[in-house]
Amino acid sequence: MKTNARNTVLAIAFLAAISSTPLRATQEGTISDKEIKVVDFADLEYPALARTAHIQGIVVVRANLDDKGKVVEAVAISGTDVLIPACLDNAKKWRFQPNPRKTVVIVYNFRMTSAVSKSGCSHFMLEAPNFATITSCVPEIR
Amino acid sequence: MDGNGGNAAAQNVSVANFSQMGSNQTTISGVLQKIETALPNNTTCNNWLQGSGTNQGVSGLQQIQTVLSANNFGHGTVSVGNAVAYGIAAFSGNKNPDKTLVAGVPISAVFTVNDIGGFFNANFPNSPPYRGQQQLVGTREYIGNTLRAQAAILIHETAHQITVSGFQDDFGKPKVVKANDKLVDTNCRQLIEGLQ
Repeated sequence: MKTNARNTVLAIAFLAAISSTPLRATQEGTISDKEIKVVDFADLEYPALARTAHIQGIVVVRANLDDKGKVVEAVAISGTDVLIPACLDNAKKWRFQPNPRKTVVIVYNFRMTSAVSKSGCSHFMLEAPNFATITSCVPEIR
Repeated sequence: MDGNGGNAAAQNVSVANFSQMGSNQTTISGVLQKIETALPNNTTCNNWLQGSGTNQGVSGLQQIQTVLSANNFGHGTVSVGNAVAYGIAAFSGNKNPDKTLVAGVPISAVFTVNDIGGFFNANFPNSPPYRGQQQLVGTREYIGNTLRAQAAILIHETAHQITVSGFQDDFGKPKVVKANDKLVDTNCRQLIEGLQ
């Protein structure tokens, strides 16, 4: 009984504490989705070695823009070695609406799939504002 | 596919007890590492083991290094249709002829070695119809479960994965398996027989 009462007091104190502290959704270096508006982009093929070795994963690229929104520099923040070079090459072909920070982030998501569509085996799909999914289908047994 | 028997055309493959760890995985990794070390010193095999078509630019050495690094391979008990397949040593790929996924194998697996095939076994089971006969691998008929047999099997699979020029899809086609094995022998015999 005593324990229950103490837990209730603690819970109320905790709720009071978090309600009085505004949640910090963004930090100083955070690039908001609102700052990323793609004007033009280039498709990316699944890199051959990554495809033959079934390497999947996510590569996050930070790109610096010039005054016109063209990517002038691209750096991988995370990702696997086999996938990164193709992403950096690809990012340099994108253009964005200029933003004050002159920086954007692109997320590349590489997935092997069993599905084959009428248009073939390799697909590139961009979801706004910056999420690119590159798929390739797994081979038949041989 | 590498193996020494069975026309599996049009039948689906499945794998029981697929695993990417344990002593069998360590054995496969060890053989891949030996090939990785030997390849740069064997010009004939290294020059032959190169990707073609959409895989142009991918070398066998890169493929082995990348697959090893990601541990994107495994082993298990392979069946074709409803029968366990002692005659299949290993296969690459994930989709059956009818386009369904090979049951039991994750999409990340580039190739699967058969726990009951010639990679890990010198003999077939004693029970009929095999009567304990030897598992013989490749053109030179290396005895199963020897380093030579294991290397021949993994080079064969690597050639499939990167589509070496002249190497054909051979699942369920024993004659094509033999032709592919001959290419492995012609180009990589020296490497295979030099491994220690």
